[in-house]
Amino acid sequence: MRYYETLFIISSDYKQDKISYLVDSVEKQFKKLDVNILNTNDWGKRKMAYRINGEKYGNYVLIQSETENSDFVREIENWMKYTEGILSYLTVRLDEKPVVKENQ
Amino acid sequence: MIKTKKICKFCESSRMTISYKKPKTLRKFITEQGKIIPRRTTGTCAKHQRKLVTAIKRARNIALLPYQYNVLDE
Repeated sequence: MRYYETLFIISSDYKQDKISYLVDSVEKQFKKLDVNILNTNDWGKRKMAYRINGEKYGNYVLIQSETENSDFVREIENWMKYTEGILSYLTVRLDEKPVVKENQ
Repeated sequence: MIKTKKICKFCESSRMTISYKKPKTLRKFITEQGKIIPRRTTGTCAKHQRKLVTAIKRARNIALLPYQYNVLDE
């Protein structure tokens, strides 16, 4: 089993209900690719170090997951690239299994 | 002039960990312009400097750290 961590930025124009809708659709896409989600962590609105698509602020969301699908990273990044509202994304492989937090 | 030996800050205390998700820690290892400071200046050991470099580059990619601080912008 491999462990991954995906951090992505949602446009600051999106309101709270639209953000949770987008996060839901991201999670659905994860499940479609046979990925088990361990943690979802919303960092909230932050100022970005540089402008992306002319925007100064963005909502950061972190998802930690486990999978045996080796094509996962390529496929999820390709999907995020063409999804509206996602400004940027980064997937990193973890060495160890992350601690699963409850009540999230 | 007597040189005092610099000790790697990450070896010194186990509390300081390197992660691209902690831009505040990484900020100490880049210059005002945003360049990565060489380890001969900071005293970081080779092992930790390698990890630090990947962490800084990842943080830049996801806009947690800038590629360069623009003087004209501010």
